[in-house]
Amino acid sequence: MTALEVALAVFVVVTALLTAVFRDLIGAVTTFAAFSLGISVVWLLLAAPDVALTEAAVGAGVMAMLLLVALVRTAQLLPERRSDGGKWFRKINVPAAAVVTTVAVALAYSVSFFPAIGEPTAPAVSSIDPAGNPAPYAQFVGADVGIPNAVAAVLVVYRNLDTFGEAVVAFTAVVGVLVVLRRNRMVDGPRECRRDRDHPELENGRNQLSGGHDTDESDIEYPDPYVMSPVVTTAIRTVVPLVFVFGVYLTLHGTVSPAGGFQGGVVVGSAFVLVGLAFGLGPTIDWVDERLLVAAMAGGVGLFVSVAFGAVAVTGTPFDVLAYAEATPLAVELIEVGIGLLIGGVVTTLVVVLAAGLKDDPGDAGHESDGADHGPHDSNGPDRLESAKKDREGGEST
Amino acid sequence: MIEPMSHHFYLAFAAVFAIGIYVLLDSPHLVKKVIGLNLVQMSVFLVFVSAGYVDGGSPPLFVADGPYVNPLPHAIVLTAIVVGVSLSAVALALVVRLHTEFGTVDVHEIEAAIADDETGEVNADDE
Repeated sequence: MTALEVALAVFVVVTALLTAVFRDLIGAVTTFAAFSLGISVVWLLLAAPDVALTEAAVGAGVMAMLLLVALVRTAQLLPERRSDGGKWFRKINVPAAAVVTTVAVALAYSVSFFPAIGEPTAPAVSSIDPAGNPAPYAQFVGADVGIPNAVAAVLVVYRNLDTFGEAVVAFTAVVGVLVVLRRNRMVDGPRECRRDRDHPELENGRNQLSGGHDTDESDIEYPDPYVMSPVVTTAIRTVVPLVFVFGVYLTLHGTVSPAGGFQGGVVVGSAFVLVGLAFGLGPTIDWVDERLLVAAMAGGVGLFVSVAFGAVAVTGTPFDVLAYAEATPLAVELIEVGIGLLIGGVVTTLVVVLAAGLKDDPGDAGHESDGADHGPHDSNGPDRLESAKKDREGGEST
Repeated sequence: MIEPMSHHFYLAFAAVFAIGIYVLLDSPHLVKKVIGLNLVQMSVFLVFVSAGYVDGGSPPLFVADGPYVNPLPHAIVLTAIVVGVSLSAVALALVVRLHTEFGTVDVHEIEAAIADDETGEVNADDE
Protein backbone atom coordinates (compact mmCIF):
# COMPACT_ATOMS: atom_id res chain seq x y z
CA MET A 1 0.00 0.00 0.00
CA THR A 2 1.39 3.34 -0.98
CA ALA A 3 0.16 6.91 -0.87
CA LEU A 4 -0.25 6.72 -4.65
CA GLU A 5 -2.63 3.78 -4.35
CA VAL A 6 -4.77 5.58 -1.77
CA ALA A 7 -4.78 8.71 -3.91
CA LEU A 8 -5.94 6.64 -6.89
CA ALA A 9 -8.66 4.95 -4.86
CA VAL A 10 -9.91 8.41 -3.86
CA PHE A 11 -9.63 9.58 -7.48
CA VAL A 12 -11.78 6.77 -8.90
CA VAL A 13 -14.44 7.26 -6.23
CA VAL A 14 -14.55 11.04 -6.82
CA THR A 15 -14.77 10.69 -10.62
CA ALA A 16 -17.50 8.04 -10.23
CA LEU A 17 -19.39 10.42 -7.94
CA LEU A 18 -19.05 13.31 -10.41
CA THR A 19 -20.27 11.03 -13.19
CA ALA A 20 -23.35 10.30 -11.11
CA VAL A 21 -24.24 13.88 -10.17
CA PHE A 22 -23.33 15.93 -13.26
CA ARG A 23 -26.36 17.28 -15.08
CA ASP A 24 -24.27 17.90 -18.17
CA LEU A 25 -24.18 14.61 -20.12
CA ILE A 26 -20.96 15.36 -21.98
CA GLY A 27 -19.45 16.15 -18.58
CA ALA A 28 -20.67 12.83 -17.22
CA VAL A 29 -19.13 10.94 -20.14
CA THR A 30 -15.86 12.85 -19.70
CA THR A 31 -15.63 12.10 -15.98
CA PHE A 32 -16.48 8.47 -16.75
CA ALA A 33 -13.52 8.37 -19.16
CA ALA A 34 -11.35 9.89 -16.41
CA PHE A 35 -12.64 7.19 -14.06
CA SER A 36 -11.61 4.52 -16.57
CA LEU A 37 -8.18 6.07 -16.92
CA GLY A 38 -7.79 6.08 -13.12
CA ILE A 39 -8.84 2.42 -12.99
CA SER A 40 -6.34 1.51 -15.69
CA VAL A 41 -3.54 3.06 -13.59
CA VAL A 42 -4.86 0.99 -10.67
CA TRP A 43 -4.47 -2.15 -12.82
CA LEU A 44 -0.89 -1.11 -13.51
CA LEU A 45 -0.16 -0.75 -9.78
CA LEU A 46 -1.76 -4.14 -9.14
CA ALA A 47 0.75 -5.71 -11.58
CA ALA A 48 -1.83 -6.28 -14.32
CA PRO A 49 -0.34 -4.41 -17.29
CA ASP A 50 -2.36 -6.37 -19.85
CA VAL A 51 -5.63 -5.44 -18.15
CA ALA A 52 -4.43 -1.85 -17.91
CA LEU A 53 -3.82 -1.73 -21.67
CA THR A 54 -7.27 -3.08 -22.43
CA GLU A 55 -8.95 -0.75 -19.96
CA ALA A 56 -7.13 2.33 -21.28
CA ALA A 57 -8.15 1.54 -24.87
CA VAL A 58 -11.69 0.35 -24.09
CA GLY A 59 -12.84 2.37 -21.10
CA ALA A 60 -11.25 5.70 -21.78
CA GLY A 61 -11.40 5.45 -25.58
CA VAL A 62 -13.99 3.19 -27.18
CA MET A 63 -16.60 3.29 -24.40
CA ALA A 64 -16.52 7.10 -24.18
CA MET A 65 -16.83 7.24 -27.96
CA LEU A 66 -19.83 4.89 -27.93
CA LEU A 67 -21.54 6.99 -25.26
CA LEU A 68 -20.90 10.24 -27.15
CA VAL A 69 -22.16 8.68 -30.38
CA ALA A 70 -25.33 7.53 -28.61
CA LEU A 71 -25.84 11.05 -27.22
CA VAL A 72 -25.42 12.58 -30.68
CA ARG A 73 -27.75 10.03 -32.29
CA THR A 74 -30.42 10.79 -29.70
CA ALA A 75 -29.84 14.56 -29.81
CA GLN A 76 -29.07 14.67 -26.08
CA LEU A 77 -26.14 17.08 -26.10
CA LEU A 78 -27.90 19.53 -23.82
CA PRO A 79 -27.72 19.02 -20.05
CA GLU A 80 -30.46 17.09 -18.33
CA ARG A 81 -33.52 19.12 -17.44
CA ARG A 82 -33.05 22.10 -15.17
CA SER A 83 -35.91 21.00 -12.94
CA ASP A 84 -33.75 18.08 -11.84
CA GLY A 85 -31.29 20.25 -9.95
CA GLY A 86 -29.00 23.26 -9.94
CA LYS A 87 -26.74 24.63 -12.62
CA TRP A 88 -24.08 21.92 -12.46
CA PHE A 89 -25.39 19.01 -10.46
CA ARG A 90 -28.48 16.89 -10.31
CA LYS A 91 -30.74 17.12 -7.31
CA ILE A 92 -29.88 14.44 -4.74
CA ASN A 93 -32.48 11.69 -4.87
CA VAL A 94 -32.90 11.08 -1.14
CA PRO A 95 -34.61 7.64 -1.17
CA ALA A 96 -32.13 6.29 -3.74
CA ALA A 97 -29.22 7.78 -1.79
CA ALA A 98 -30.49 6.15 1.41
CA VAL A 99 -30.75 2.76 -0.28
CA VAL A 100 -27.31 2.88 -1.84
CA THR A 101 -25.71 4.19 1.35
CA THR A 102 -27.04 1.10 3.10
CA VAL A 103 -25.63 -1.05 0.29
CA ALA A 104 -22.27 0.71 0.50
CA VAL A 105 -22.04 0.31 4.28
CA ALA A 106 -22.97 -3.37 4.06
CA LEU A 107 -20.39 -3.98 1.33
CA ALA A 108 -17.69 -2.04 3.18
CA TYR A 109 -18.40 -4.08 6.31
CA SER A 110 -18.21 -7.33 4.30
CA VAL A 111 -14.95 -6.53 2.56
CA SER A 112 -13.35 -5.65 5.89
CA PHE A 113 -13.28 -9.40 6.56
CA PHE A 114 -11.23 -10.00 3.42
CA PRO A 115 -7.50 -10.53 3.90
CA ALA A 116 -5.50 -7.35 3.34
CA ILE A 117 -4.68 -6.55 -0.29
CA GLY A 118 -1.29 -8.03 -1.13
CA GLU A 119 -1.25 -10.40 1.87
CA PRO A 120 0.83 -13.42 0.71
CA THR A 121 -1.27 -15.81 2.84
CA ALA A 122 -4.57 -14.71 1.29
CA PRO A 123 -6.46 -17.74 -0.09
CA ALA A 124 -6.81 -16.17 -3.54
CA VAL A 125 -3.03 -16.14 -3.79
CA SER A 126 -1.74 -19.00 -1.64
CA SER A 127 -4.34 -21.69 -2.29
CA ILE A 128 -3.40 -22.09 -5.93
CA ASP A 129 -0.26 -23.86 -4.80
CA PRO A 130 -0.59 -26.12 -1.74
CA ALA A 131 3.19 -26.44 -1.46
CA GLY A 132 3.44 -22.72 -0.78
CA ASN A 133 5.53 -22.08 -3.85
CA PRO A 134 5.54 -18.35 -4.51
CA ALA A 135 5.17 -18.78 -8.27
CA PRO A 136 3.14 -21.95 -8.91
CA TYR A 137 2.12 -20.94 -12.41
CA ALA A 138 5.73 -20.43 -13.43
CA GLN A 139 6.42 -24.15 -13.29
CA PHE A 140 3.53 -25.65 -15.16
CA VAL A 141 2.93 -22.83 -17.63
CA GLY A 142 6.57 -22.97 -18.61
CA ALA A 143 6.64 -26.77 -18.78
CA ASP A 144 3.24 -27.30 -20.45
CA VAL A 145 2.86 -24.42 -22.83
CA GLY A 146 6.37 -23.14 -23.21
CA ILE A 147 5.45 -19.44 -23.13
CA PRO A 148 6.20 -17.00 -20.33
CA ASN A 149 2.88 -15.08 -20.37
CA ALA A 150 0.62 -16.85 -17.90
CA VAL A 151 -2.45 -14.75 -18.76
CA ALA A 152 -2.20 -15.73 -22.42
CA ALA A 153 -1.68 -19.36 -21.37
CA VAL A 154 -4.82 -19.29 -19.22
CA LEU A 155 -6.88 -17.56 -21.91
CA VAL A 156 -5.78 -19.53 -24.93
CA VAL A 157 -4.76 -22.94 -23.54
CA TYR A 158 -6.38 -23.82 -20.21
CA ARG A 159 -9.64 -21.89 -20.57
CA ASN A 160 -9.87 -21.59 -24.33
CA LEU A 161 -13.47 -22.80 -24.51
CA ASP A 162 -14.45 -19.88 -22.22
CA THR A 163 -12.44 -17.51 -24.37
CA PHE A 164 -14.13 -18.83 -27.48
CA GLY A 165 -17.50 -18.28 -25.81
CA GLU A 166 -16.55 -14.71 -25.00
CA ALA A 167 -15.41 -14.10 -28.56
CA VAL A 168 -18.79 -15.40 -29.72
CA VAL A 169 -20.54 -13.04 -27.30
CA ALA A 170 -18.62 -10.09 -28.75
CA PHE A 171 -19.56 -11.19 -32.27
CA THR A 172 -23.18 -11.66 -31.21
CA ALA A 173 -23.17 -8.11 -29.88
CA VAL A 174 -22.31 -6.86 -33.38
CA VAL A 175 -25.15 -8.91 -34.84
CA GLY A 176 -27.44 -7.54 -32.12
CA VAL A 177 -26.54 -3.93 -32.85
CA LEU A 178 -27.09 -4.50 -36.56
CA VAL A 179 -30.47 -6.13 -35.99
CA VAL A 180 -31.65 -3.47 -33.54
CA LEU A 181 -30.62 -0.55 -35.72
CA ARG A 182 -31.66 -1.99 -39.08
CA ARG A 183 -35.01 -3.32 -37.99
CA ASN A 184 -36.32 0.15 -38.54
CA ARG A 185 -35.86 -0.19 -42.27
CA MET A 186 -36.17 -3.91 -42.86
CA VAL A 187 -39.24 -4.66 -40.79
CA ASP A 188 -41.03 -1.45 -40.07
CA GLY A 189 -39.95 0.74 -42.92
CA PRO A 190 -39.27 4.40 -42.28
CA ARG A 191 -41.37 5.72 -39.46
CA GLU A 192 -41.89 9.10 -38.01
CA CYS A 193 -40.90 9.43 -34.43
CA ARG A 194 -43.80 9.53 -32.08
CA ARG A 195 -43.06 12.86 -30.48
CA ASP A 196 -42.76 14.53 -33.87
CA ARG A 197 -46.14 13.12 -34.79
CA ASP A 198 -47.72 14.45 -31.62
CA HIS A 199 -45.70 17.66 -31.41
CA PRO A 200 -44.55 18.72 -34.87
CA GLU A 201 -43.46 22.07 -33.44
CA LEU A 202 -40.60 20.37 -31.59
CA GLU A 203 -39.05 18.97 -34.68
CA ASN A 204 -36.79 21.78 -35.79
CA GLY A 205 -35.08 22.49 -32.50
CA ARG A 206 -34.48 18.87 -31.75
CA ASN A 207 -32.95 17.96 -35.06
CA GLN A 208 -30.41 20.73 -35.30
CA LEU A 209 -28.01 18.87 -33.06
CA SER A 210 -28.21 15.52 -34.76
CA GLY A 211 -27.70 17.19 -38.10
CA GLY A 212 -28.77 16.03 -41.50
CA HIS A 213 -31.94 14.29 -40.38
CA ASP A 214 -34.12 16.95 -41.90
CA THR A 215 -32.72 16.22 -45.35
CA ASP A 216 -34.65 13.91 -47.60
CA GLU A 217 -33.73 10.28 -47.16
CA SER A 218 -32.70 9.69 -50.75
CA ASP A 219 -29.88 12.21 -50.85
CA ILE A 220 -28.46 11.78 -47.36
CA GLU A 221 -25.68 9.29 -46.92
CA TYR A 222 -24.34 9.93 -43.43
CA PRO A 223 -26.10 11.31 -40.36
CA ASP A 224 -23.46 13.90 -39.63
CA PRO A 225 -20.80 14.77 -42.16
CA TYR A 226 -18.67 17.40 -40.51
CA VAL A 227 -15.39 19.19 -40.85
CA MET A 228 -12.96 18.85 -37.98
CA SER A 229 -10.30 21.36 -36.97
CA PRO A 230 -6.98 20.91 -38.85
CA VAL A 231 -5.24 20.56 -35.49
CA VAL A 232 -7.23 17.43 -34.75
CA THR A 233 -6.95 15.94 -38.23
CA THR A 234 -3.19 16.52 -38.36
CA ALA A 235 -2.68 15.04 -34.91
CA ILE A 236 -4.79 12.00 -35.80
CA ARG A 237 -3.04 11.53 -39.15
CA THR A 238 0.26 11.41 -37.25
CA VAL A 239 -0.84 9.21 -34.37
CA VAL A 240 -3.11 6.67 -36.06
CA PRO A 241 -0.40 4.74 -37.96
CA LEU A 242 1.56 4.39 -34.73
CA VAL A 243 -1.51 3.26 -32.79
CA PHE A 244 -2.32 0.74 -35.50
CA VAL A 245 1.20 -0.69 -35.58
CA PHE A 246 1.25 -0.83 -31.77
CA GLY A 247 -1.99 -2.84 -31.87
CA VAL A 248 -0.53 -5.30 -34.38
CA TYR A 249 2.61 -5.56 -32.24
CA LEU A 250 0.54 -6.32 -29.14
CA THR A 251 -1.37 -9.04 -31.00
CA LEU A 252 1.78 -10.72 -32.26
CA HIS A 253 3.71 -10.48 -29.00
CA GLY A 254 1.02 -12.03 -26.81
CA THR A 255 3.12 -15.02 -25.83
CA VAL A 256 6.21 -13.25 -24.56
CA SER A 257 4.98 -9.90 -23.24
CA PRO A 258 1.90 -8.68 -21.35
CA ALA A 259 -0.19 -8.41 -24.50
CA GLY A 260 -2.40 -10.53 -26.73
CA GLY A 261 -5.31 -10.59 -29.08
CA PHE A 262 -7.78 -8.79 -26.83
CA GLN A 263 -5.41 -5.90 -26.12
CA GLY A 264 -4.14 -5.68 -29.69
CA GLY A 265 -7.67 -5.91 -31.07
CA VAL A 266 -9.03 -3.04 -29.01
CA VAL A 267 -6.00 -0.87 -29.79
CA VAL A 268 -6.41 -1.52 -33.55
CA GLY A 269 -10.13 -0.82 -33.20
CA SER A 270 -9.46 2.44 -31.38
CA ALA A 271 -7.15 3.49 -34.25
CA PHE A 272 -10.13 3.25 -36.62
CA VAL A 273 -12.32 5.06 -34.09
CA LEU A 274 -9.77 7.90 -34.06
CA VAL A 275 -9.94 8.10 -37.86
CA GLY A 276 -13.72 8.26 -37.58
CA LEU A 277 -13.44 11.03 -35.01
CA ALA A 278 -11.39 13.18 -37.38
CA PHE A 279 -12.97 12.45 -40.73
CA GLY A 280 -16.52 11.39 -39.87
CA LEU A 281 -17.60 7.85 -39.09
CA GLY A 282 -19.70 7.51 -42.25
CA PRO A 283 -16.80 8.17 -44.64
CA THR A 284 -14.62 5.95 -42.45
CA ILE A 285 -16.82 2.91 -43.04
CA ASP A 286 -16.56 3.55 -46.77
CA TRP A 287 -12.80 3.88 -46.50
CA VAL A 288 -12.34 0.74 -44.41
CA ASP A 289 -15.01 -1.11 -46.40
CA GLU A 290 -17.52 -3.03 -44.36
CA ARG A 291 -16.67 -6.23 -46.23
CA LEU A 292 -13.15 -5.99 -44.81
CA LEU A 293 -14.59 -5.75 -41.29
CA VAL A 294 -16.82 -8.77 -41.85
CA ALA A 295 -13.85 -10.64 -43.34
CA ALA A 296 -11.70 -9.76 -40.30
CA MET A 297 -14.34 -10.99 -37.87
CA ALA A 298 -15.13 -14.17 -39.82
CA GLY A 299 -11.42 -14.84 -40.45
CA GLY A 300 -10.63 -14.35 -36.76
CA VAL A 301 -13.29 -16.81 -35.63
CA GLY A 302 -12.27 -19.20 -38.42
CA LEU A 303 -8.62 -19.12 -37.34
CA PHE A 304 -9.56 -19.76 -33.71
CA VAL A 305 -11.88 -22.64 -34.64
CA SER A 306 -9.47 -24.26 -37.07
CA VAL A 307 -6.61 -24.24 -34.57
CA ALA A 308 -8.93 -25.51 -31.80
CA PHE A 309 -10.35 -28.30 -33.95
CA GLY A 310 -7.01 -29.04 -35.58
CA ALA A 311 -6.17 -30.65 -32.24
CA VAL A 312 -8.73 -33.35 -33.06
CA ALA A 313 -6.31 -34.70 -35.67
CA VAL A 314 -3.62 -35.13 -32.99
CA THR A 315 -5.38 -36.38 -29.86
CA GLY A 316 -9.02 -36.54 -30.85
CA THR A 317 -9.98 -33.81 -28.35
CA PRO A 318 -11.14 -30.44 -29.68
CA PHE A 319 -9.80 -27.29 -27.97
CA ASP A 320 -6.86 -29.28 -26.58
CA VAL A 321 -4.17 -26.86 -27.69
CA LEU A 322 -1.52 -28.66 -25.65
CA ALA A 323 -1.82 -31.52 -28.17
CA TYR A 324 0.43 -29.58 -30.53
CA ALA A 325 3.43 -30.37 -28.25
CA GLU A 326 6.42 -28.25 -29.34
CA ALA A 327 4.23 -26.31 -31.76
CA THR A 328 1.96 -25.14 -28.94
CA PRO A 329 3.46 -21.61 -28.75
CA LEU A 330 2.79 -21.27 -32.48
CA ALA A 331 -0.80 -22.46 -32.01
CA VAL A 332 -1.23 -19.94 -29.17
CA GLU A 333 0.08 -17.16 -31.40
CA LEU A 334 -2.29 -18.15 -34.21
CA ILE A 335 -5.25 -18.08 -31.82
CA GLU A 336 -4.11 -14.68 -30.52
CA VAL A 337 -4.04 -13.38 -34.09
CA GLY A 338 -7.55 -14.76 -34.58
CA ILE A 339 -8.79 -13.04 -31.42
CA GLY A 340 -7.06 -9.82 -32.48
CA LEU A 341 -8.77 -9.86 -35.89
CA LEU A 342 -12.15 -10.59 -34.33
CA ILE A 343 -11.94 -8.01 -31.54
CA GLY A 344 -10.51 -5.32 -33.83
CA GLY A 345 -13.38 -5.91 -36.24
CA VAL A 346 -15.96 -5.98 -33.45
CA VAL A 347 -14.79 -2.73 -31.84
CA THR A 348 -14.61 -0.87 -35.15
CA THR A 349 -17.97 -2.19 -36.33
CA LEU A 350 -19.76 -1.40 -33.07
CA VAL A 351 -18.70 2.25 -33.04
CA VAL A 352 -19.19 2.82 -36.76
CA VAL A 353 -22.56 1.08 -36.98
CA LEU A 354 -23.88 2.83 -33.89
CA ALA A 355 -22.81 6.16 -35.35
CA ALA A 356 -23.51 5.92 -39.04
CA GLY A 357 -25.21 2.66 -39.95
CA LEU A 358 -23.87 0.62 -42.83
CA LYS A 359 -23.51 1.99 -46.32
CA ASP A 360 -26.75 0.59 -47.71
CA ASP A 361 -28.62 1.57 -44.57
CA PRO A 362 -29.15 5.27 -44.04
CA GLY A 363 -29.49 4.72 -40.31
CA ASP A 364 -32.80 5.90 -39.00
CA ALA A 365 -32.76 8.93 -41.25
CA GLY A 366 -36.08 7.82 -42.65
CA HIS A 367 -37.99 8.18 -39.44
CA GLU A 368 -38.81 11.82 -40.02
CA SER A 369 -38.61 11.97 -43.78
CA ASP A 370 -41.35 14.24 -44.98
CA GLY A 371 -43.90 14.41 -42.22
CA ALA A 372 -46.33 12.28 -44.20
CA ASP A 373 -48.76 10.14 -42.28
CA HIS A 374 -47.31 6.65 -42.01
CA GLY A 375 -50.46 5.15 -40.60
CA PRO A 376 -51.33 4.27 -37.01
CA HIS A 377 -48.62 3.06 -34.70
CA ASP A 378 -50.13 -0.35 -34.07
CA SER A 379 -50.75 -1.37 -37.65
CA ASN A 380 -49.41 -4.82 -38.37
CA GLY A 381 -46.14 -5.59 -40.12
CA PRO A 382 -46.95 -6.15 -43.80
CA ASP A 383 -49.32 -3.19 -44.01
CA ARG A 384 -46.75 -0.95 -42.45
CA LEU A 385 -44.05 -2.19 -44.82
CA GLU A 386 -46.35 -1.61 -47.76
CA SER A 387 -47.24 1.92 -46.73
CA ALA A 388 -43.60 2.63 -45.95
CA LYS A 389 -42.58 1.52 -49.41
CA LYS A 390 -45.24 3.70 -50.93
CA ASP A 391 -44.05 6.64 -48.87
CA ARG A 392 -40.49 6.18 -49.94
CA GLU A 393 -41.35 5.92 -53.63
CA GLY A 394 -43.47 9.04 -53.26
CA GLY A 395 -40.63 10.81 -51.50
CA GLU A 396 -38.14 10.00 -54.22
CA SER A 397 -40.35 11.09 -57.08
CA THR A 398 -40.98 14.53 -55.62
CA MET B 1 -13.20 -3.54 12.11
CA ILE B 2 -12.67 -1.69 8.84
CA GLU B 3 -9.03 -1.02 7.99
CA PRO B 4 -8.96 1.61 5.25
CA MET B 5 -5.19 1.41 4.85
CA SER B 6 -5.01 -2.25 3.84
CA HIS B 7 -8.41 -2.50 2.13
CA HIS B 8 -8.40 0.75 0.14
CA PHE B 9 -9.37 -0.80 -3.21
CA TYR B 10 -12.05 -2.94 -1.57
CA LEU B 11 -13.55 0.18 -0.02
CA ALA B 12 -13.33 1.94 -3.38
CA PHE B 13 -15.24 -1.05 -4.78
CA ALA B 14 -18.01 -0.59 -2.20
CA ALA B 15 -18.27 3.13 -2.98
CA VAL B 16 -18.20 2.80 -6.78
CA PHE B 17 -20.65 -0.12 -6.72
CA ALA B 18 -23.08 1.96 -4.65
CA ILE B 19 -22.62 4.98 -6.92
CA GLY B 20 -23.38 2.82 -9.94
CA ILE B 21 -26.57 1.54 -8.32
CA TYR B 22 -27.47 5.13 -7.42
CA VAL B 23 -27.16 6.19 -11.07
CA LEU B 24 -29.37 3.26 -12.10
CA LEU B 25 -32.02 4.24 -9.55
CA ASP B 26 -31.82 8.01 -9.85
CA SER B 27 -31.35 9.05 -13.45
CA PRO B 28 -34.29 8.64 -15.83
CA HIS B 29 -31.86 9.15 -18.70
CA LEU B 30 -31.15 5.83 -20.43
CA VAL B 31 -27.59 6.69 -21.53
CA LYS B 32 -26.85 7.63 -17.91
CA LYS B 33 -28.16 4.23 -16.84
CA VAL B 34 -25.71 2.52 -19.20
CA ILE B 35 -22.91 4.51 -17.53
CA GLY B 36 -24.21 3.33 -14.15
CA LEU B 37 -24.08 -0.30 -15.26
CA ASN B 38 -20.50 0.21 -16.38
CA LEU B 39 -19.56 1.69 -12.98
CA VAL B 40 -20.98 -1.38 -11.21
CA GLN B 41 -19.09 -3.66 -13.59
CA MET B 42 -15.77 -1.88 -13.11
CA SER B 43 -16.11 -1.97 -9.32
CA VAL B 44 -16.49 -5.76 -9.40
CA PHE B 45 -13.36 -6.06 -11.57
CA LEU B 46 -11.54 -4.03 -8.93
CA VAL B 47 -12.28 -6.72 -6.31
CA PHE B 48 -11.15 -9.53 -8.60
CA VAL B 49 -7.79 -8.03 -9.50
CA SER B 50 -7.12 -6.72 -5.97
CA ALA B 51 -7.73 -10.19 -4.53
CA GLY B 52 -5.07 -11.69 -6.81
CA TYR B 53 -2.41 -9.18 -5.88
CA VAL B 54 0.66 -10.05 -3.78
CA ASP B 55 2.82 -7.43 -2.11
CA GLY B 56 5.83 -6.75 -4.30
CA GLY B 57 4.48 -9.14 -6.93
CA SER B 58 5.59 -9.03 -10.56
CA PRO B 59 3.16 -9.29 -13.46
CA PRO B 60 2.46 -12.96 -14.30
CA LEU B 61 5.10 -12.97 -16.99
CA PHE B 62 7.71 -15.53 -16.13
CA VAL B 63 10.81 -13.72 -17.17
CA ALA B 64 11.25 -11.61 -14.04
CA ASP B 65 11.79 -12.91 -10.52
CA GLY B 66 8.86 -13.89 -8.32
CA PRO B 67 6.65 -13.63 -6.46
CA TYR B 68 4.04 -13.29 -9.16
CA VAL B 69 0.48 -12.11 -8.82
CA ASN B 70 -2.34 -14.55 -9.61
CA PRO B 71 -2.96 -14.52 -13.38
CA LEU B 72 -6.50 -15.95 -13.18
CA PRO B 73 -8.32 -12.69 -12.30
CA HIS B 74 -6.40 -10.92 -15.06
CA ALA B 75 -7.59 -13.45 -17.62
CA ILE B 76 -11.26 -13.17 -16.67
CA VAL B 77 -11.23 -9.37 -16.26
CA LEU B 78 -9.49 -8.93 -19.60
CA THR B 79 -12.20 -10.77 -21.50
CA ALA B 80 -14.98 -9.31 -19.34
CA ILE B 81 -13.91 -5.76 -20.23
CA VAL B 82 -14.20 -6.53 -23.94
CA VAL B 83 -17.49 -8.38 -23.51
CA GLY B 84 -18.75 -5.52 -21.32
CA VAL B 85 -18.10 -2.89 -23.96
CA SER B 86 -19.83 -5.08 -26.56
CA LEU B 87 -22.90 -5.44 -24.37
CA SER B 88 -22.90 -1.71 -23.61
CA ALA B 89 -22.93 -1.11 -27.35
CA VAL B 90 -26.02 -3.32 -27.67
CA ALA B 91 -27.67 -1.39 -24.82
CA LEU B 92 -26.85 1.92 -26.51
CA ALA B 93 -28.21 0.61 -29.82
CA LEU B 94 -31.46 -0.20 -28.01
CA VAL B 95 -31.47 3.34 -26.58
CA VAL B 96 -31.02 4.80 -30.07
CA ARG B 97 -33.82 2.57 -31.33
CA LEU B 98 -36.10 3.67 -28.47
CA HIS B 99 -35.33 7.26 -29.34
CA THR B 100 -36.31 6.56 -32.94
CA GLU B 101 -39.59 5.13 -31.70
CA PHE B 102 -40.50 7.58 -28.94
CA GLY B 103 -38.42 10.69 -29.59
CA THR B 104 -37.05 10.67 -26.05
CA VAL B 105 -34.56 8.77 -23.90
CA ASP B 106 -36.33 9.56 -20.64
CA VAL B 107 -37.83 6.41 -19.10
CA HIS B 108 -40.75 8.32 -17.58
CA GLU B 109 -41.72 9.82 -20.92
CA ILE B 110 -41.38 6.44 -22.63
CA GLU B 111 -43.56 4.81 -19.98
CA ALA B 112 -46.13 7.57 -20.37
CA ALA B 113 -46.15 7.06 -24.14
CA ILE B 114 -46.66 3.31 -23.71
CA ALA B 115 -49.47 3.98 -21.22
CA ASP B 116 -51.06 6.28 -23.81
CA ASP B 117 -51.00 3.49 -26.34
CA GLU B 118 -52.59 1.04 -23.94
CA THR B 119 -55.42 3.33 -22.90
CA GLY B 120 -55.81 4.92 -26.32
CA GLU B 121 -56.03 8.34 -24.73
CA VAL B 122 -53.89 11.39 -25.23
CA ASN B 123 -51.91 12.03 -22.08
CA ALA B 124 -52.12 15.70 -21.24
CA ASP B 125 -49.17 15.45 -18.85
CA ASP B 126 -46.78 14.49 -21.61
CA GLU B 127 -44.72 17.65 -22.01
